[in-house]
Amino acid sequence: MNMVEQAERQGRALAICCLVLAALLLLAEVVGSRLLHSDFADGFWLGMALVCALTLMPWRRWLRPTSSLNRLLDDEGVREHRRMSCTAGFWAALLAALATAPLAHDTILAAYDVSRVVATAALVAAMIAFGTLELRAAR
Amino acid sequence: MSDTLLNTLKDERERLGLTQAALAERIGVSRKTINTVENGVFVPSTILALRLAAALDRPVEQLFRLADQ
Repeated sequence: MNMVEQAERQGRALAICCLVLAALLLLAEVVGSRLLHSDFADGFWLGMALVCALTLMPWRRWLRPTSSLNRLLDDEGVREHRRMSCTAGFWAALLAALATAPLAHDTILAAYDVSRVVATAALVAAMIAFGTLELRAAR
Repeated sequence: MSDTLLNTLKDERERLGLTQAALAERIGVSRKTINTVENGVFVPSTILALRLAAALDRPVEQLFRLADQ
């Protein structure tokens, strides 16, 4: 298997991984905030959020910038998809913040809950956008 | 003036008997990037456009043109 095929396979795996992680993060938020108020649920959500944020970063390229495979996994097309997905995440976060602001103002939602909703919205939107764009490009 | 960029990448690639993966390997990008450029989904940078032109042995203006030109 040559380098382009390896990059293709790993890129597709990363895209699917993004969609799965987005679903898990959303699940962790819904379960943690609505059904199960526990330190474990809070910790699980925080862990998932950190993993999601790391997945969106080109950390492989940062760790080994000279690797040909890492260069293919973070080429011009992937960087454009990352930029577009981060933009989607920004707008989702803004909408979530605007939607939850009145609830926080009337103390229906605590600041901690608001921050979780905003972070979840941003990450889920960015992960879904990135995964979808990458899978569509790989067709 | 139109912002739509048309390209003849697929025709030129097929003229040389190259697959998307083979062209991607020649210029050091992923096959996905070649695919999105060919389909007009992604507008490549000047650097990538020049690399594509060199790999396909064609001037860059023959590979890419604006829709209204």
